Amino acid sequence: MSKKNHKHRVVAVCLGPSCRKKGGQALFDNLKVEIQRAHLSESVEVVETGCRGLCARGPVAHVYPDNITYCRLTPNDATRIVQGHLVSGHPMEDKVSHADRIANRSFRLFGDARFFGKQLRLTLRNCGVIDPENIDEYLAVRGYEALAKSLTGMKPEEVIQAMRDSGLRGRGGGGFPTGVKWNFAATQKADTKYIICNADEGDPGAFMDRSAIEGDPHTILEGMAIGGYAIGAHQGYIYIRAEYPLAVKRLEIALEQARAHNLIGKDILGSGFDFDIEVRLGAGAFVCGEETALIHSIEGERGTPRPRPPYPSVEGLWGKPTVINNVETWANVPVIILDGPEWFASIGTADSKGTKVFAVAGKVRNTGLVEVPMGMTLREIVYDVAGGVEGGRSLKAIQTGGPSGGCIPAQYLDTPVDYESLKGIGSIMGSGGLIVMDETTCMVDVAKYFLEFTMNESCGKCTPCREGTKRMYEILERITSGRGEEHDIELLEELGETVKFASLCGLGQTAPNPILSTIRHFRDEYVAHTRQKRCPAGVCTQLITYEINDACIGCGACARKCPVKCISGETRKLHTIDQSKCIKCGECFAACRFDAVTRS
Amino acid sequence: MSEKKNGQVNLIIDGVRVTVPEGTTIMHAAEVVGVKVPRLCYHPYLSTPGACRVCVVEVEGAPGLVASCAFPVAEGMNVRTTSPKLRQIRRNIVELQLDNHPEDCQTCERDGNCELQRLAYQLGVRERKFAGEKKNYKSDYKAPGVIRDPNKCILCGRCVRVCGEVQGIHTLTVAHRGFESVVVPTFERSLADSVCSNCGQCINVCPTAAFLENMNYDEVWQKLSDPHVTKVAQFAPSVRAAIGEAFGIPPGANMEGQTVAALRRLGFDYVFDTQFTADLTIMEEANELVNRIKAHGTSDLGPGKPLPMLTSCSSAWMKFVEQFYPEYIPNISSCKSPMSMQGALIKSYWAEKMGLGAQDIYSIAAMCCTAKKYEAAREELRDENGLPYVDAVITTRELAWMIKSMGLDFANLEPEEFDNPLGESTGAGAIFGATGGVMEAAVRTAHQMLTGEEMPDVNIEAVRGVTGAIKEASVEIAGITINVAVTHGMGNAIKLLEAVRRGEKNVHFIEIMGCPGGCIGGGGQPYAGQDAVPMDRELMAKRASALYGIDKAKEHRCSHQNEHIQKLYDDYLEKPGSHRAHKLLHTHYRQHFPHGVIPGRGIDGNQESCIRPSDPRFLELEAFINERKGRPHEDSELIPVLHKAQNLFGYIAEEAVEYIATKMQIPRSKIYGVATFYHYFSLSPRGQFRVSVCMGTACYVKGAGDLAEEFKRILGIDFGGITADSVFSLECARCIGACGQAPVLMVNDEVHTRVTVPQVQKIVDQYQEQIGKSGSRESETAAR
Repeated sequence: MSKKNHKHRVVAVCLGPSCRKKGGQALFDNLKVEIQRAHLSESVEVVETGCRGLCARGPVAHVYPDNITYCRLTPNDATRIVQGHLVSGHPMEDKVSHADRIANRSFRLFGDARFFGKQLRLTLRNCGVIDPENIDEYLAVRGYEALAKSLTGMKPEEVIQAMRDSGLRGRGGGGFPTGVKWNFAATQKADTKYIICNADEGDPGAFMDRSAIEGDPHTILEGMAIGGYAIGAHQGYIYIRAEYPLAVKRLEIALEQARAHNLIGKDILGSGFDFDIEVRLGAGAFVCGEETALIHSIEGERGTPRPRPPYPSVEGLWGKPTVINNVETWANVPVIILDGPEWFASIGTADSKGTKVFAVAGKVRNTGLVEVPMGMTLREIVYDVAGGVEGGRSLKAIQTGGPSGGCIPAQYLDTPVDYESLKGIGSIMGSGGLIVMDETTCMVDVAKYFLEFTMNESCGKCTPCREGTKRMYEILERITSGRGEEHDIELLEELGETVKFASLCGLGQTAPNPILSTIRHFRDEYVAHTRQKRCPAGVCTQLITYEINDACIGCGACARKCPVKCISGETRKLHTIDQSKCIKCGECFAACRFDAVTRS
Repeated sequence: MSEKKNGQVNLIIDGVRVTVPEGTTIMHAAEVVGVKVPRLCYHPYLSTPGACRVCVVEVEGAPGLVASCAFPVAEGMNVRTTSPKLRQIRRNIVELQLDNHPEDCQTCERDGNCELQRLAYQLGVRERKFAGEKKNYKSDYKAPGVIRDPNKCILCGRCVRVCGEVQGIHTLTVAHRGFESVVVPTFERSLADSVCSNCGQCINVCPTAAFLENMNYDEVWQKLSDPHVTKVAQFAPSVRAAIGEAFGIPPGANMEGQTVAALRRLGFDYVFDTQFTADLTIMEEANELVNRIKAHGTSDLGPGKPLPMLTSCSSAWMKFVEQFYPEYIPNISSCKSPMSMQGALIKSYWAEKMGLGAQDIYSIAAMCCTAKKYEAAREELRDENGLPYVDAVITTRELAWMIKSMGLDFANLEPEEFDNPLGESTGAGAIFGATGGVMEAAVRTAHQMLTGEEMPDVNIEAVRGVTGAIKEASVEIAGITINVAVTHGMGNAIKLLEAVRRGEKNVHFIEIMGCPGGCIGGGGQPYAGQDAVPMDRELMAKRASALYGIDKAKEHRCSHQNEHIQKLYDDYLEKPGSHRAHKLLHTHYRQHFPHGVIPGRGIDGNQESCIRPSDPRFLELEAFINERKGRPHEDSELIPVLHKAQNLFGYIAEEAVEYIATKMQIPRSKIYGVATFYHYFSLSPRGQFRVSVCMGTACYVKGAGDLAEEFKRILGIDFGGITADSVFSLECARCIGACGQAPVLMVNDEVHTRVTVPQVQKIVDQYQEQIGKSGSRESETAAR
């Protein structure tokens, strides 16, 4: 840990958004009080760290050098940690995450073999390990060494060559080779060039970038500075969602510290290279993840995309050559410089090198961030890393790539995660959202959900996306409410193709993916909705009927719960539901302890 | 494939080899091989958004389809402009446009002249598969010149581009986004309350009927059957040069005689010529110029000074000066426009002659212009009883409709002569309609006024032509060098005036016409035909040539040579600039609000001090903006400034937009467009408790949708709504990154996790209770 830290022990409390909300802050405060009360202030330090991905078991704290990770803590556990563990030497066995070491190259910690055992944390290497608000801790884990190595020992061409050799591809979704992109910008003759970090993470259910920045902001700055050196840029911008105030705060702190250490700014480390970074806030527009829209947004315009070419590497911000990469891509840069492109290229598959971070969410036991080598199968991610489906139900599909991606049915669970394989089964890698769905998820409803998202986020500039997403949504709405015809499925396919091929930018071009992939893999569900007017998963409320059968003992529990009072019946007699008034909320179904309320 | 050389690129389009210069777009390269790729949003004089996607083509090796209007050719490229897939996709795109467009072609003003209609026919849209919800906006009929029906808008954006890029006015913006996108003036106010000049170029470039002139022909029809009034018409030079196009006559034909005849057949008792008062305008204007030069010499130059004198016949330009350049009001010639002079003479001089009262006369003007409707309604231009001198203005298009609806065979009407004494004109009056014409006419007469001699050669070629943006010339008259400058289109006017303001141009007399090409390109002229594009310069040149043809054929080519003008002065007006001339033929101008914003112009200290409202929050906003002044790419600070404004006011208040616009010199429309694009910005006040339900995927699959419905039910509002008591507002959040505890929602900054539907009521009650406890506490959250 910190070089300056002479204390014997450190209690690192995760104050990532999830842990903080579950009482992490109170725990943190209580720990400080308890340590003072136990007169341990001289020897024990309490620090806050960023997310380490164990969101489902938060609040989480880690005790160094004991290397014990506690899970599911409450603020009251502070006393037990201090008195029991730190003073008496007896860790709280009931809250210890099962201690195990993982074969992680960069460092050696974390418990919980199941969650961390198969992960390979490169871009998240420092998340949850260092204090993100203290540059000394970053420096202690070889921080800014890659920048120093680049500036002092490598020519810009060599840095670009290293990127090309590493095989790193853009982690924002497109998967364009990073080294090639840099080379385009580097070979442009221009007086000014720019570097942009795209931190406008907007996929619903994705929080990789947020956690990466909150946990390790310096890595991003370092990566950007290396990129600036490689292409000849002296100014960088980080475009980040305004909805991420903690990440913004940590970036600002990191920038200030890096400037104070001459790692950002004029004449970095005496090399003569100048590079500064400015943070720009987004304002709630998913389309600004598209690079030309993002550029317009930084320029103070409506965030609408424009046709390419010219590509930003030729004509980008204010018409100057600009390299735009996303957070995870930048986080990979120092790793590649430090550990060498050959080593990096040894991880992953033939065409997809390195690791990928996924935000695993949905109906899965361990919700959180995972970083795995490219090529790991979906099955391993879901079952070995994320602990399998919640509640013992069976997995129905995995959605990757957010609203731009597709739904992958269970039979493809052994597909390796890499750019081409996912594309081959109708989805995309995307920026790393991975949502697990079980049998209670309706695939038509999921498609509708994503379409609603893209429809709302369409910038409205081009016709196919503006009008087409709206019409596709309307058709889906028709289908999920029982008014659909079988012909509607074909209409969706036709319209989907038009929107996919004719839209101006990636948002529109990928917007039909959730529909097209669910039709491809779950056509029978669409048919059930249109032909039989039935929702097999029991999700589409307008296709559901609640009824009370003979098992009813007349206890009245359902009637008391019913928000519209449409259940009637005398006490101890069979109750009935007035279907004309029923709003299909499902409260009666949940309230009945005798399985007398049926859903069909 | 041969080697690429000399900046030429070889490619194949539909199997045909073609060589074009580097940088050519596929669309233009295809035209070389005879293929006009179907298109909609593209316009050759405007920027290329590549937005409508109708012009998509297949490029071998490219992953999707590319917009041919924006995609540059490359060596060895293989392009296909047609295929079953392409035809299907283009058809679907146009169908998608139609699906969100009224189905009222038969009753639409642009029936038969509509680009969308033409395209749908051309591409073979014969069925409607995707019909659904349609946009439903209120129309704006308030402005006298231009009206707006957003329901007919197909969002090609040409109007926004012409208004900003060509006219520099920036009245319009695309606001909101996605399916909600709509072209509007700032804060969706009426055009009448905006910086709109009424020039009508938006009508010219609109492919549908989303913009139209405010029609007056119904009223004219009514009056034509009124036996108690004398019906009098006048029409502008440019009307005769263009009206033939509406009847399929090739552009450039002079239809003067037929137009006179048609107006008589429609029922007008007298038909006078606006060219007559164009001559009169020249007499007054040249006299004014000569007086300004005589009194001040040619060195007293600058805004607010006597020189340069600015012409005043273009009514769009007048409104523009009053809003954008009030400091130049003293420089404007006080002369009324020829139309208004004619209007005043008809109801005074001629009325007296005829023994009629002003109320006995119904006087209309057929104009190439939509802004003339605005001009006719101006208070300054009414008679002493507050009645308008010109009772109605109809555009060239409206006149053509009237003629068509009567069934007149316009092309074959026997040409007729104007009535007199207000019908005779010289060549100088005719060329008024083309850019440079007023200048040329004025110089011809100023020469005579200063020297007492006629100009040896009255043709001043340097100020003619529709292509040159700013035309300049120096004329030597009586030993004085008079520098003149001519421009057309308000965007060019800005360039010229800025150069004058900066002292870079030493000019004494400036002619400015609000529309590109001058009046011949006015907003009321016939729509471009099937093969022409709106504002086409070749079309303008043809219309102009009709006017110069009239000039050339006239015996008298200088206004002062007009015998009826001379008689008018002798009998009635005395001399140019006389008291009576002033009363009838001159007017005054005053500053209009809202004040126009010209990007990058900078504001003077005077203005700065009067724009800040007293609210102390503006001081903070001002400090924030000042901190950013002078940074490179200052305009890009708009979004940070909007964040600041929202933090200060709780939402983006209209006064804040007004303040930012003036302070940062960013057009209001742009700020409005930006603020409505980003969902983080709220344009209306939000509740004391802002409920935002996370609709991220993890939350959604765990029932966030049901929570949202429950909130909507309990609060009785939709997403984006606010309860009547301003206590709650409901928003939809997109992943707040707490997926592990889905579904989550936030009330202000408090997070509620793993929420179930029955808990919703409890949450609402919990906050409602806080209100009870704190009594009538003002909304603190607003000033967060």
